[in-house]
Amino acid sequence: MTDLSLKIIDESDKIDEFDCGDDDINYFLKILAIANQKRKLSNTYILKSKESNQIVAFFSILASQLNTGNARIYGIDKIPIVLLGRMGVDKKFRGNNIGRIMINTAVRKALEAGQLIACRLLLVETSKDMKSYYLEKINLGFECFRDKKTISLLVIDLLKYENSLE
Amino acid sequence: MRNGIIIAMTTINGKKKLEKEKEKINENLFFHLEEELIESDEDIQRLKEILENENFDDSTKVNIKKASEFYEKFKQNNFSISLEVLARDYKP
Repeated sequence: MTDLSLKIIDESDKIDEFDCGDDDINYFLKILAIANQKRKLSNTYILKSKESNQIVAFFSILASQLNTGNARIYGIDKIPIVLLGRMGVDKKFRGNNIGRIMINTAVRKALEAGQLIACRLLLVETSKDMKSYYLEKINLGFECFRDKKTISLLVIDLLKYENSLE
Repeated sequence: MRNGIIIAMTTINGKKKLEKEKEKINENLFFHLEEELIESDEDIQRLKEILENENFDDSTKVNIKKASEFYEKFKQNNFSISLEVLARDYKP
């Protein structure tokens, strides 16, 4: 049995061995995640093996806003949002529903944050390749907000999500 | 002369360190987009559609409820789970 536990990253965590196959995402975990944590710029949650202490997956979340400029929505020009900033699953652990539980947890953390300080949307940037993974396989209410050449911006309306739990 | 070399090396090392720091700061980005998240009237319309549409479809609602039940179990277990249970039981 490989027991896993979720926690917020700190300096005691073994980050060197993590490899999700994407240099930018590895770089974030290894160089920026703890620094951002200390500066309260983003929170990084890790799923790690209790036995080996190896990080199996992580995601980072932070508060942000969508500026709507002159076009006000509900009379305001800034929609409060939570960014699902970076996420990765170590190559060795893929195919075990780890991505699914990490995204589910990120959504729930955003909902919990919304109980204290209002936030309406969870926003994630994904590659075009991964778009259908979020929309169809994860299927937690992600909607496509914008498509660019190689990336897509997806959102979950946290109000709709909350109403779906009733 | 030796002092001069040391000062020059310190300056070079200092510059390199500064460049590395700058590089790190520049790369502390969560998104690859170079422009604003909202750019056009179409983006605003799309955002309004998302916010004004009150419900998810039924299959999404069912999936959200299942995911919620799984999360509550995960939470009750102090956010611990075995890899084997996760792979076996967490199905959409």
